Amino acid sequence: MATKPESVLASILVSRATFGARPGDVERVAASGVKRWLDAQLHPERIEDSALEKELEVYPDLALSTSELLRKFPREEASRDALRKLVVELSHAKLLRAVRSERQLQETLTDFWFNHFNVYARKNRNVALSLPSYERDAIRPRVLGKFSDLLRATAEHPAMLQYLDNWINFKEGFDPREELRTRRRRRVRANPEREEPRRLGLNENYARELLELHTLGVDGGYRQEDVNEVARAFTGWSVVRPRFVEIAKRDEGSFLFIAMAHDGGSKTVLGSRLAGKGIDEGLEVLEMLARHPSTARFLSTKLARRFTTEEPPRELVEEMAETFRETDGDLRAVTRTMFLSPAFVEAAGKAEMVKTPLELVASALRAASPASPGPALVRALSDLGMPLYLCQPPTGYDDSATTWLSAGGVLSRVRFALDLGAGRLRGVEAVGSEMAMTIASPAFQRR
Amino acid sequence: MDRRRFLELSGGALLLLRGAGARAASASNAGVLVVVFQRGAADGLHMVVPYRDASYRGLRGALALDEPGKGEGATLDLGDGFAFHPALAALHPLYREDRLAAVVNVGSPDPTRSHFDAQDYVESGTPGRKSTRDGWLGRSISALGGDSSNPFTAVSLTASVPRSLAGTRAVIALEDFGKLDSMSAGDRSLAERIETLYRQNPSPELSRAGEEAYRALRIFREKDPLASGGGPRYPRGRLAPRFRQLAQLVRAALGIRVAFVESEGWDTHFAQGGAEGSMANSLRELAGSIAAFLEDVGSAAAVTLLTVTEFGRTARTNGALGTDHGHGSVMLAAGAGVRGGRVLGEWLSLDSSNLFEGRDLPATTDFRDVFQEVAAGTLGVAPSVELFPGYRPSSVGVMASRRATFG
Repeated sequence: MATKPESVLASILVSRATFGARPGDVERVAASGVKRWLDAQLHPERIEDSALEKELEVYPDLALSTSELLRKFPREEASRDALRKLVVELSHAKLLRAVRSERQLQETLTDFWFNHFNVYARKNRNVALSLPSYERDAIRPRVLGKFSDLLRATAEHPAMLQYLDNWINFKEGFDPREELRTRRRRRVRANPEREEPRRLGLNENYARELLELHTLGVDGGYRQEDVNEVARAFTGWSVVRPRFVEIAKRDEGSFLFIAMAHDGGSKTVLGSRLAGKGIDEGLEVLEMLARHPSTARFLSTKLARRFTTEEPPRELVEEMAETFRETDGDLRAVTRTMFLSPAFVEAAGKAEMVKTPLELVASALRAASPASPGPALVRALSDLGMPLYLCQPPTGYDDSATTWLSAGGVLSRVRFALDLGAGRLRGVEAVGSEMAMTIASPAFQRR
Repeated sequence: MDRRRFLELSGGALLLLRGAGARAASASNAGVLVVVFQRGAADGLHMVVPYRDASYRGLRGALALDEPGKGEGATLDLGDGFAFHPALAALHPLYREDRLAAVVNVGSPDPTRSHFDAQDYVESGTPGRKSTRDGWLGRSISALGGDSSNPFTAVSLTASVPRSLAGTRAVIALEDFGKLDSMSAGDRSLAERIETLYRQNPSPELSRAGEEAYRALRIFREKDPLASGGGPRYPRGRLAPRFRQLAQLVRAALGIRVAFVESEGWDTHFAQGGAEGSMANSLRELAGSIAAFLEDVGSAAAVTLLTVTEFGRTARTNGALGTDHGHGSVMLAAGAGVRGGRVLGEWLSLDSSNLFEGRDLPATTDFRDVFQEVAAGTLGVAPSVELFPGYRPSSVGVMASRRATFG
């Protein structure tokens, strides 16, 4: 990174590794040295962030475990409004973190990896109630860890298991009542559960997205047979439903491997026969995928795209993929390689990527720093076309300029800036018309 | 000699004529296609009821509706043993006037029961293929040719451009167009200064987006579409204001060819209700909105409206007095060019041997057949244009258009 003056490097780095510069940020980063600042950001656990944590205490529900939330919002009382309110709180908390957290790199990466492992809050009540834990426990702590750990944490998380239907992925012809009866357990009542088919069998929804979106990429070299075999490997990876609490001796809504629903036959994935049995087969698949060279390339490309340009330079992707392979998928090392590469500075310096609405709103608030970024901003995000946690397809929100820069998109952004400027967003004080101009300007739409 | 017959006779010249026909059609035909997406998978069996079917009552149980003429809450006769849910009463006159048709057992060849996969497939128009980047309406707009710089060529009453319209830039998506309208004088002068910034921006991408945005804004101010008052009464709820706004936009002659409206709340796993209840309320709002919208637009434009949903629901009522994810469902087509007053599509009895995987209404008509026919009939998209890659749609008979299919 040595070919450019420190202030230029600082400006590029801050534009990518944070949700936008606050007044004085670039100078501060330049003064401390970009490398030192980056290394500090790569260890978020060492960065003091208690002011934010204190601010987030207004939302005690977000600190609850999934089983606590399931108890707090029982099926009969979990009205649409109650669940909606929870998602609004979670969205506001995400925005507050983006604006206020000192651990900026961790937050941009959490945004990236959540979107990579997207789940949709309105799939059903259980997904909504497991969302706080999904982001807090599975994703945020692992965005700078091993990719295989992150992958496993999402694979086992009830939010993902339910979003992509793996909780109802069973061996063909599985009949739980029959199995339970033969095991002389108590009879299970007729079941009014949502989306549970009466004839149970394979559900390849998760298996397909695991290969296509989470690891290898659509051109990563797998075939329909692999999707099928992976689906079979994950049969029985489920969650504890209310009627299983007693049998499983686990909390409702937690991960449960149902051995009797697992397909015991042998399986071949990507040409190799799985060695394990039972739950180990799924774990083996995750390890195999996490180490696959297609995964290294696919993830490096996607990361580089998010942090540089739509078509990231090949040498940058190569460098990152090499780090990925050499470090067994150490995301801290891969992220560091990316930001320190000369190719990164070159590509990111072109400033071609358009901010997503979340980035626009967060960077506007960081630039203007009103005292209270109130929950009205959550609504603003959905007006801008990016309601948080409400992206339905597993692909997550698109990152391309064409998505966000339609005529309606520009008008919505201008509108947002004018509203922010004039203080028309409830609970957010006016930032003034000059600041509104800056926020609406084309230059500000770029990362 | 009619046009179709002529084309059949002319044999070798067919290809050449297809091209010429397409150009002529797009120049002469100024229809507006309105697509209403019922998100969540609407229960077709609760919309168009086969009340004479021997298995209907047994399967539906508490959800079963009364046959026509049985007093309050009874279904409304469509002929041939079919009837509308009573909450669709607002659409019944349109059907009787031959302005509305229903297509039963319509759906996707892909068996997925996943909302997002199925919506993706319907909107991209490529069932089973996720890598398609554009949407079927986006491709239809591109096939139109003509003035691609009008940002109002397609409008969507949604916060972002829907998947169906991906692939074209001649689209403007806003959940509430009223927001465009409500700028104070101070805002306007700021907005003008911002426009200058976009015009001066060196990036062609940004300056073009700004140009499109401000062109839209100017057209909007000049025509002031939302100022027009009056019009019919719309029902209450979240959907009706979108239709009211769309009618205002269409009446203002902004050059709209395609419009997209979303209707939510069709995922009725619990307490779906019979003649009354949650789905009845949704249907009442949908029907009332559509009827009011068509009346509101009147003769201002040749509007054709099509309802679409990602799949249907189980034929049998589930244990929670609702229905689960199924397969085939119903589409309604209404307005200009529709050969209404008919229930179309191949109906199979509800006998369990006919049900898809033993539980759902089958899909005997591919949704792309209806899409292609409606796109041809309203927009003049030539049958030779490949709207649905790898698929050859066949005629369903929804549109009266002469240039239906001859492929």
